[in-house]
Order: sequence, then C-alpha cells, then structure tokens
Amino acid sequence: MIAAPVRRERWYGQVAPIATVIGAMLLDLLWVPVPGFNAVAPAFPVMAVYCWAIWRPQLLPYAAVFAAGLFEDLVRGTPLGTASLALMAVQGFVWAQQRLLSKQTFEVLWLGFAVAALIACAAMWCAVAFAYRTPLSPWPGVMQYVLTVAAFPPLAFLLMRIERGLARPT
Amino acid sequence: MGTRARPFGRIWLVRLWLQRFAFLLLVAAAFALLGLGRVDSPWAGRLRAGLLDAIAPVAHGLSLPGRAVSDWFASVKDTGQLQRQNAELKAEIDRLRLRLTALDELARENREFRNLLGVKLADEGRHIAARVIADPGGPYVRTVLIRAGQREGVRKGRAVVTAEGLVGRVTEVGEFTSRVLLITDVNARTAVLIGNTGERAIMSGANADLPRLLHVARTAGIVKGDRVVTSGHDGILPPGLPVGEVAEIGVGTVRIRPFVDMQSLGYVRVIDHDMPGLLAPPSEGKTAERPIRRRDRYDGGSP
Repeated sequence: MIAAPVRRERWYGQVAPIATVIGAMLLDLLWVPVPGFNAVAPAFPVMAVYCWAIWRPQLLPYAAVFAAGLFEDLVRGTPLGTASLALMAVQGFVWAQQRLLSKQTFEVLWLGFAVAALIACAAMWCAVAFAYRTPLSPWPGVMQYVLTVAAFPPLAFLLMRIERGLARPT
Repeated sequence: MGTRARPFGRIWLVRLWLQRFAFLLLVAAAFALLGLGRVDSPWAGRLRAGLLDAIAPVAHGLSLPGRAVSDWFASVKDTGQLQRQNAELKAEIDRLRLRLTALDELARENREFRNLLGVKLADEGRHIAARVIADPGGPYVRTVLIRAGQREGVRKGRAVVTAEGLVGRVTEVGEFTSRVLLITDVNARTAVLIGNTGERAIMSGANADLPRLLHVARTAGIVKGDRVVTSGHDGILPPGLPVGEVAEIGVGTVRIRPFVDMQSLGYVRVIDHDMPGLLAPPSEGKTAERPIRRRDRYDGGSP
C-alpha cells in the first residue's frame, strides 16, 4: 500500500492566512480623501477570512480568527467582541458550506461571498446594538456591505496569487 | 486495517466535536465581552493605549497618500480662485480691523469692570496642536486618531477643537497617539447651552451628521440658526466652546449642525483644561505633573 503524500506547510505558509487577515485590518486604516468614505470603507478582513476559510481552513483556527477580531476592535475602537463575532460568523458559514464553495468558479465564489458578507454585516449590526443596548441606523452598514461585495474581486485575486504561491512545490 | 481505523475514527469524531465546541465557546466569549464592554477595566485601557502607539506609524503612513492627493486638489482649487479670494480677503481684513477696534474697547471695559467687582476668571488651559492620522471607526463608531499623547501632555477627557468649534473629547491616550470620540458618535454626550434662549440641554451623537438634543425642557423659544455652545455643566468640557447651530426642529426633536466638518479634519487642538473642583484620575497623576515644553504649546498660529 502506498501512503498518500502528506503536505506539510512551510512556516510562511502556516502564518500567511492570519498575517493577511491582520494586513487586511491595517489596510482598513487607509485614509481616502472622499468625504464619508472612511466610515463605510470595504471590510477587507471579511474577504481574507472568507478566502482562507475556503482554501486553507486548517490554517485558520477559530481561536486565531477570534483573536484577530479582538485586534480589529482594539484598532477601530468598536466594542470588544464585535469584529470577532462578525468574522467567526463568516468562518462558520464557510465551514458549513465547504463542499459547495470549494473548487468552484470565481462567479460562484463571489456569490458565496455576497452571502457571507451579508451575514458578517448583520452580525456586526446585532453585536453593536447589543453592546450599546440600542439599535443604530443600519444604513452605514448597508453601504459598507455594497462596497465590500464590489471590492471583493481585486483582493480575492491578490489572495489567490498568494495561495498559489504557497502551493507551488519547491 | 479495520482494527486500526476505529481509533482514528474516534479521534476524528472527538476533534470534530471539539471544533464545534470551540466555535460555540468563542461565540459565547464574544457575547460576554460585548456585555461587559461598558466596564472600563484598566487592563483593556492599557492594551488599547499600547496598541494605539503600535499602529500609529502604520496609520500615519497609510494616511500620507490620501493627504497628498487631498492637498494637491486643494492647492489646484486655490490657484484657480486666487484673484477672487484676494479681493474677498482684503474686504474681510477691512471689516475685521473695524471689529477689532470695537473688541479692544470692549475688552478694556471688561477688564475694568472685573477689577471693580473682583472677579477672577478660570484658567483657559493650554492648547496642544495635533494632526489627525486616521479615521478607523467604521460604520458604527465615529472616532479619529491624533498624533499627540501623554508625551505631549494629552489626558483622557480633554476637549478637542478646531478654529471652527468642538470636535470631541479624548477617550484613549497612548504615549504619542490618542483616540478622539467625535461629538457625532452615538456614545458622545455634551452638555450645551442654546444661544438665544439660554436653555440647557444634552447633545447626543446619532452616528449621523446631525447630533440631536436630549432633555430640552422648552423647545418653544428655539429657532433654526440658534448658536449652541458647551455649558460646562458636565464637568468635563470647558464652557463656551462653539459646538454648532440648530439645523432642524421637529416634534420633540432638535438637531444640531456642528460647526466643524468632521469628514475633513486635518489639524486639531487639545485643550488641557482642568475643570474647577475635579480631581485628576490617580492613574494619570504622573502625566498631570509633567511640565509641558514651550514648543509643544499651541500659541494661536497655524500648526
């Protein structure tokens, strides 16, 4: 019996998913000189978590996503737990739909992301309403959702290049 | 094979169960953190302050291209309007010269009356100039990061203003970076006075451009365009800072348009002002005692 080859990630392959999630969080700090844009700028970390949860779920454990969410909350000044909940909702959705989303065309991947981002935006709105004990206007969140879905292709393309780079045998 | 497959199957099942358990546990932990979010724990404060300093260089670097583009557009716009602006500024200088003469006279009179009555004015506080380096809040939080912290003498709770009026107050202070909660944020509360009526109220942010007034006893005398200033009754912000003007009056709701455009903040000033009768927080004692260097003080000129 021939044993199946065990794929062992190199150290940079192991840290790449969480590093790109953190990088996406820092990208959110980019200041765009368009009035009102920074409040509804695309949620890049949601894209990174979605892509890596599909391509390399074993390298993106729940605890790491939870910790990355706490980091985002500390950076943004949002109530602690908000981003963790939103990112884990995305991860939970992807893991539940793993068979459906893996090895699909980009269009299906994008459609799946539209659903995942909707779940993330709804989770964030609920978390903030729970923390503030008052429902806020959902419109800024809706605006952010539209921009996030629209901005998905370029970032997904970049992440795809990184993932393929990691998969290349040395 | 069959005898060996069973333990692996069991391990796989345990791992699956642990994964699901971990997911539920972490979701519960996130809710617990959200529930406890209002508890102002010192460790969370220290962590946030430390992180502010850590991300400040990145935030500053990421703000530079946007600022450069914005400055370039502003300069192009200014160049096209130079001749008209020049004529307007000359007319404005003439008008201001006349007002200055009248104000000098009023100031002299005021001094004389104060001397006669023996009135002593409270310390107006030092002004610390700082650049806005990031606007990281997202859709549900209105905050900005400024490049000034404990090292420059910034302390928690201090008022942040521009030449136009009140911007917000400092909520987190790192070594050389601070976070400012804008008056438009849903958590911001500002004690204000409404211009012509002298009515007291609390202004609350609504995560929208126009904050609203809470606890207004009488709205009858309030009209659109009434000036709103801080009253100082909250014991946090100094009185008399311009805040905005009444923009909308509805049934039981009054909305204020801030004088400051929160979406194009460049430089701000932090007012280091001690409210009379208030003790400094014990954790900030060291900072409070630290003398502020002369070059750090804002002297009224452009930063």
